[in-house]
Amino acid sequence: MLSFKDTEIGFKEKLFTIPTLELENGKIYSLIGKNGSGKSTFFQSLLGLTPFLSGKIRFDNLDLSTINQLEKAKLIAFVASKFDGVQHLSGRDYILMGRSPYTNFLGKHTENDFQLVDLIIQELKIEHLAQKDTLKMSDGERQILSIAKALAQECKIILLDEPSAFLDYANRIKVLTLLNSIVKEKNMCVIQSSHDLELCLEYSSSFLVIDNKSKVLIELENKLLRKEKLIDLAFD
Amino acid sequence: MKNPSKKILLFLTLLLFFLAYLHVNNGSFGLDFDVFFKSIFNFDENQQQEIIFREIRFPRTLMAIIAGAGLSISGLLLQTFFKNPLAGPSVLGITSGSSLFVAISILTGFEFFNTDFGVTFSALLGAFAFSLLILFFSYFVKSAVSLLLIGMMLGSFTSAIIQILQLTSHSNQLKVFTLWGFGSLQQTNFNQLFFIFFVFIIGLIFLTILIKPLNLLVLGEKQAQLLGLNISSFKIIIIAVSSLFAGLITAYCGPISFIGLAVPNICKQLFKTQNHFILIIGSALIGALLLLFCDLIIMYIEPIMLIPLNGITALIGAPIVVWIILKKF
Amino acid sequence: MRILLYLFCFVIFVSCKNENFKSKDLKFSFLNKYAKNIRFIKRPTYTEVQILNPDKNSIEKKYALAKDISNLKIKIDVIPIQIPLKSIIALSGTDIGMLQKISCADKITGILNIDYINNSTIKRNFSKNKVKEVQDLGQINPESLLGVSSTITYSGFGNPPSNEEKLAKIGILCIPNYDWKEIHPMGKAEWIKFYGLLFDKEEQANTYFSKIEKEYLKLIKLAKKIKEKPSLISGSMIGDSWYMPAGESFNAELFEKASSNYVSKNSKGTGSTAYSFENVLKDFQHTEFWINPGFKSKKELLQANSKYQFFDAFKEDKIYCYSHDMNHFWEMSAIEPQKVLSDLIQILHPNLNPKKKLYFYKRIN
Repeated sequence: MLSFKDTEIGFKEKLFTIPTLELENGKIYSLIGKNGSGKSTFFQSLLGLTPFLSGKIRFDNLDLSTINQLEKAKLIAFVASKFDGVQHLSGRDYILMGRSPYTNFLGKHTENDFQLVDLIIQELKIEHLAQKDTLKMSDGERQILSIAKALAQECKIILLDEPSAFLDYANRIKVLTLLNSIVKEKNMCVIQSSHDLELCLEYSSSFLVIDNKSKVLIELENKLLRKEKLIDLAFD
Repeated sequence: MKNPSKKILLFLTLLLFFLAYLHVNNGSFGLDFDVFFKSIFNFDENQQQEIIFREIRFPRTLMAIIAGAGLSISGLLLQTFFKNPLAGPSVLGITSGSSLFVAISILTGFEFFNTDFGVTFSALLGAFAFSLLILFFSYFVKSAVSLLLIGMMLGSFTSAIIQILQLTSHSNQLKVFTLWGFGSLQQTNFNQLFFIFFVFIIGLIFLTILIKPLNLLVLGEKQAQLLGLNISSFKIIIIAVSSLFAGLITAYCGPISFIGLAVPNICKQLFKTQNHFILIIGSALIGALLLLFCDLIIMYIEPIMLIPLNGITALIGAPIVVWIILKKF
Repeated sequence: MRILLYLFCFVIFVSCKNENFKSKDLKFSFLNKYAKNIRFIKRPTYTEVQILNPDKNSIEKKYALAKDISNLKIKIDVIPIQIPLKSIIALSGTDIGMLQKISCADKITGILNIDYINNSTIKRNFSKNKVKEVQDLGQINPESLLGVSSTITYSGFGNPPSNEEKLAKIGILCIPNYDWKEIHPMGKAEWIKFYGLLFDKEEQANTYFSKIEKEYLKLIKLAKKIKEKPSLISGSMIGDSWYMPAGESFNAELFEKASSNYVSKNSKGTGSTAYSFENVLKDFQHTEFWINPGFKSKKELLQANSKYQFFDAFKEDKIYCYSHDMNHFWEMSAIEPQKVLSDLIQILHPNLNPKKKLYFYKRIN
């Protein structure tokens, strides 16, 4: 459970606040907001790249401000909206990088690391990508790999920054279906920021909306929601 | 480690022994292992063959290996750090900076700068300073080719300054120094090899803790940080180690071009991996092999004509650079 | 019968022609004793001086020297020079020595760099601002020479300097000097005759030349009688190669005349031969003498390359060079070849005349 209290998000100036919020495991939350409303800053703050302006953020009983970068990497994983691939970097090697928080200072991978990664490859049915050069893959394939890498980090929380932004419709469905199954099986907490409202309505459990007027984050259950209301709140 | 990589590394190692043998063997008489080992461990200075092995052949071969390996490692670190396959210690002007600092320090006249330690110190400092300079420019210049051009301008600039210093200075020491503007593997003495090897080993030790950061850096700084790496402290160490190798080699061999640029690219093409453990060993081996090969060509052609070291490395290296550009851009 | 008649006529005809040629010959004899790169031809109204480029085997410049050049009938490729010259810019170094010997050092108004000057007259005049430092000929700004002198001598290198035409336009003449390419030591010295002509000191030049020629030949005769021929190496490492004067070079000639066994005496060419260090060490490690390494102390030698310590000449202190006073050597050695030869004989055969001092050379320690 990821809980927020009296949290202010912003870079130099305050962009929005979270008076109180509790995010549960086993759910996909869709973060909706106007461009520039602070979605990326929110992720950056959670990941420890930029500080929260104020507030208490806890995961279970752990105060997030007390843990270092390494511990955070074992707790929260980040999937960027685009991975361009690296020449000579195979799919499997890319996923293995997700094990970095656990490897020793030499970066040596243990038997455990290899087994875990191979299991993830099996589950996601991406055996055909394991030895393929990431530079030669399609955007959709790379996106799936990035999610696999995040899984390899064995985290409780995964943040995805507009995961379907660069994907075609079929791949978008594929990614969201994948996220759904992961979330349920592994009891993770997934937050994705997105502009694709229709798909979010179909696949995510709840919405986190940055109210454009009050600049406050509001949680809305999916069951009761209509697209118009979302647009209203977020975009005025 | 994948099996094909292991096999290739083994092959390269064997090839290295073979070329090293050819190299030490070349000269007015062939390699006699007994005499050779005696010259190193039980030197009799009245034996002419021993003098030749110990003072002429062995330093030249060992320097070819160390210089080839060192420059390639330096280039590999720079290429990963700047995410630029065209980076290298000489094209980015780093070896020129090294030479400049050595020239200036000799001119100050302090006796310290005439010693091995002093020269190496100046060279390392120069390499580090110019690496930081290139790092500074890289924040403003996003294009890979533009950074390369800035490096070349830095190189030209320092060469001009060194030329002026040479012409106007009366220092005999400086005139002697200028001779290795061509790059040379034959300017080191047996006694200096210990110090050189010592500094080289220090570099290798630091390299071990850089393997993991380098591997993660291929994904970019942000991703590396999110995977738990304290990237800012490692960035400085990467630049420092790269400067260490580049400066060390430049201090004793003068500026040698193209090796640091070409070899890491050859290595990546050969091993098809981004695993820096393999890349570092592979680059070191290929670099040593390439420089031995270049020097062997110089040796074999010597009766017909004298080719400077940088001439050969450019002849071989420049086409490789063109090939990289064609593939990448 | 008729054939014999024609043959007879033919022979008469040819011998008549020969006769004519011979009589012409007598008027224009210009064979120097030793110098090959310069010719002096005495013509009725002027003396023609031809300067040859030895590499291209061609005449690079022709000059007509006369006291009055206003009505000279000369071909288009001959440059007139009015003598005696009032002043001169001497850039070669060797020209300074020659001018000194004909008491014309005070006529030098321009030099390359005061730090390379040995001559006391020039140094004195320089401090009185009567002598100017000019730049290298190729980079000279022509205007800066105005008022300094209208004649420049420089060491020729096969091609005229790039701004020769510009200089000529403002009345400045550039004369190339190939004494440095003369192989015979006396050939180098013979160029003093040219300077003698330029400054109307022909007699003084000839007298001096005859004097040193006598001494030189005397030394040659003396050295011929010496039976010992100690071995010697020369030169040093430049970059990755050891350069030694080739067998047909000026230095090799001197070494041979001083009665020695110069290790590179059989190599071809008049310049330098390159050797690898290994070869020099292997073949010449035990050579007795080392002449002209280009350093003035053992310390400098070792700093340049510590491997020099393995040579016998180094261990036994038999290294000699003129580097302790380079300026003196470069100015005077060309015009005092007998002293150079004397030095070499003294170095190689010290027991002949133990008290004799060295003029140019010094043992390196």
